[in-house]
Amino acid sequence: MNQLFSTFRRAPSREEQTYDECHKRLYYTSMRILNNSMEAEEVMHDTLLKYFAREEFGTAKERDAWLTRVCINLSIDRLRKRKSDENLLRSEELKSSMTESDSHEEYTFHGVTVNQVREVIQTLAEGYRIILSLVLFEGYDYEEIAQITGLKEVSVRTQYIRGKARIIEELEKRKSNK
Amino acid sequence: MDNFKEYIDNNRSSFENQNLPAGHKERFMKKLRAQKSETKVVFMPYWAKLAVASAVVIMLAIPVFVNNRISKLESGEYYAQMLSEQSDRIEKMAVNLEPGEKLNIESTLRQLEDETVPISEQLPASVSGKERREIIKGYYTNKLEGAERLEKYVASLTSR
Repeated sequence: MNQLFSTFRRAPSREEQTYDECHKRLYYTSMRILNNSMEAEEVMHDTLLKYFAREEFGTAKERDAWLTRVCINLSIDRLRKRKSDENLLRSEELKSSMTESDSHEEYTFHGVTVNQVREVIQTLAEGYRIILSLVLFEGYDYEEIAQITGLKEVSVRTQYIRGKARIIEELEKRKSNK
Repeated sequence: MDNFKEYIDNNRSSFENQNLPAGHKERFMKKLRAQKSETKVVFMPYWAKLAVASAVVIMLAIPVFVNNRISKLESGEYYAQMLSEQSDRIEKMAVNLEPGEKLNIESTLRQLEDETVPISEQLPASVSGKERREIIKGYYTNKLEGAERLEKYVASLTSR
């Protein structure tokens, strides 16, 4: 009987199909930057509405790259509006061009859960969170992140290393508190 | 490879397993419908706008033109003007005729053109617009036919 009804069910529109394919990825991308589910949903919606308002892209890969970039830009714009006077990407700390060596490349994550890592990332300062999110989750390199954020490439690298150090520090603290 | 990156890649699905806010798709479809209805505002190229504007001007001008023509027909102005133009033409043709013939023709033209009281003013107000136009047309048709015959006569005199 269910099969009979399912044959009469309305076929999803092109927009609905694209939404189903892309919305989660965009939501999580925005959520990592904004740390707010309501705003992340709005950015996800705005990104897809922008996409539907323009011409189609050649391939799914091109479409996904465009959607991700727009989603990141919209998320950062929101964050800037929200925190225009705070220490976001404009703070002296984040603008620092001092280079640091990455001494945490070999961290093992032994005895650490994914939930703990996620929680710690969420508690980071927004500037660190954006850079870590763009490197680790979106796969952008320092040059691309420098273009997106308006920071110097060397500052992006420094903040990435510092962000990772903060995460490890916090994870170790939680381990020792057990 | 950076251990952090490797860790994230290996546990990506666990990092992205939180539930999205309930009703997110319905809210999106509502926004999409609103966007679609906004974008339905018809895009019109410049030439099309110009064509529409011209059509509107023509549509507005037609009643003015028709009303003006009807009013000229009902007052007899239209026919009087035709008669006046024909008289001018005949007078010019008769310029070189013998003085006697010329006088005769000018006198006939005056009889055709003279109207102590214009016909439109002689008609009672109770006469409908259509009847008025018919009466005036009949009255001036006689005059115009007379002028036509006179023109042919003058032409025959000048061609001698």
